[in-house]
Amino acid sequence: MARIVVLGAGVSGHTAALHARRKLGREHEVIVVSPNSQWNWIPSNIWVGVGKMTAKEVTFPLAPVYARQHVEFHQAKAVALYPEGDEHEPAGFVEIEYTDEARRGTTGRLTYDHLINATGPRLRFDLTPGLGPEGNSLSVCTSGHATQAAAALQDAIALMKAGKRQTLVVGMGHGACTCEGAAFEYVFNVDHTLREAGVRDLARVVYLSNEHELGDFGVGGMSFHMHGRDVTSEQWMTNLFAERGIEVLLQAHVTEVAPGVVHYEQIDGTVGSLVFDFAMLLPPFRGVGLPVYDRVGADIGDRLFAPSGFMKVDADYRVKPYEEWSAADWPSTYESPLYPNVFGVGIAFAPPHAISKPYQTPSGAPVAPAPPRTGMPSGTQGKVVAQTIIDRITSGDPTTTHAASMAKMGAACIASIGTGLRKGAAATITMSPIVPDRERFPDTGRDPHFTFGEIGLAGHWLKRLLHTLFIYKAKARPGWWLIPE
Amino acid sequence: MVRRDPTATVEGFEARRRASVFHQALRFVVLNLKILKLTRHHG
Repeated sequence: MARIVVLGAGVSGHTAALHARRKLGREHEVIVVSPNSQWNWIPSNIWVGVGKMTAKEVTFPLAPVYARQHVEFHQAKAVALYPEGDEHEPAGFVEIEYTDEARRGTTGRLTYDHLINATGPRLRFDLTPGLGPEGNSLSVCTSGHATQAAAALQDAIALMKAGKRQTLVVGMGHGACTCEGAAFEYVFNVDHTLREAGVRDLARVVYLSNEHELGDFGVGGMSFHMHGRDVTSEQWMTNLFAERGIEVLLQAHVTEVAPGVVHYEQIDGTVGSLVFDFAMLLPPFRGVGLPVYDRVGADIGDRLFAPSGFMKVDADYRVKPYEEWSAADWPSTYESPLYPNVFGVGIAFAPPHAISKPYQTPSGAPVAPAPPRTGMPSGTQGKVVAQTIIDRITSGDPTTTHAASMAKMGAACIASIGTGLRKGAAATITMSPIVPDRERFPDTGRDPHFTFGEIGLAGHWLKRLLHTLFIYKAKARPGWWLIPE
Repeated sequence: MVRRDPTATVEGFEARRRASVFHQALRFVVLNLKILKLTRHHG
């Protein structure tokens, strides 16, 4: 009998747990530990944030799904990891602290044969003074944050209907943020909502980002062939922003969000302020990190985790200049180099470096979009690690591995730019590989057969379909495994 | 005048495509197939 413990029930952890449970017999245990009682389809939070969906439409309770699938669920957070066990316990174990009402604050211990760290991001609003819902700006990172943003947007619309001009700022709340795609989607959905309400002419909408140019999205931008011409994502996005009348402020690190004013610094040394009535600024992500102890109780956290709190896996973490970054630096098995029965997937693994070229302001603040590893790559990594563990358990060969490097896998991003059966639109973007590989594809770093972009109503229909499909899949309804990650 | 710049979006290609629901339905099928193909392609 083997026991698999999965820390986190987001896209990667939930995917790993469901695949492991499906393939392994009941004599093996699959245990999920998550501090949240709900599963959240985060890509649809942007629709909650403009009032087009409710929080209930993008979330569902995890416990009934796991009960039906015979997955043991602990609503708890991991507080310490002992990969070598301790003097009393020979097996690796994780200490947990329950977060549900009945057991809040009580602690427990779960031993494991295989551990998957899929703890996702820690939202570090605190890295920018005044940033976040507890400060002076809004967020759409959780369904609760998005609901709050929707209410604030409705307040702004009511003021515009009364004839008062409003400035709405959407973007990144720190120079080292990731998930520029989410801010892109949100700013266009805000624009779409304002047009529907008939108040767009009274709104100044500003997109504030750490990207070096539009269309970077933290993946260094894209190039594709379109209607007989070579097109860059920068050209594409520049036109889109111009046609919607959205102002753009790039290469920026937000230094503070004061009440009604966002202060920023750009890489050319410009220091500026932007007065706002409504601001949705995403926070930087860090890893959840955990105290880690060896068998005798010595702290070995710095060996397992990077200073950012993300887990070190089979990547090349040697510090190199941008010009020497290589596709081969990226991990493929997500296995810890110290403990081969410990894996880090999704946002929890430490990327070897960024994908976009990093910059900094003259004062030394980073203006460097972090690499996105949400959605499709997260799900794929969860599935691949589950396959590795399943094969190791069933074959008895501890060296078996499955691989899925972000420098080899593709990804699709369906970025909503407005909702509606007839009036909606989305930018459908695909790329392969996610991390450019200049050795295999010297021109653009990516395979032109699998890298393309298209804007239109069909993209909106696709995004709406994916919302339904992925929630169906996450609920483990019949045939869920047939839906790709 | 119809703009031929493929990066022209709202006023260009998107507007012309939106004129035909049939065309959008066709694009929807094509996009689904392209993404499905991508999910089966690993370098």
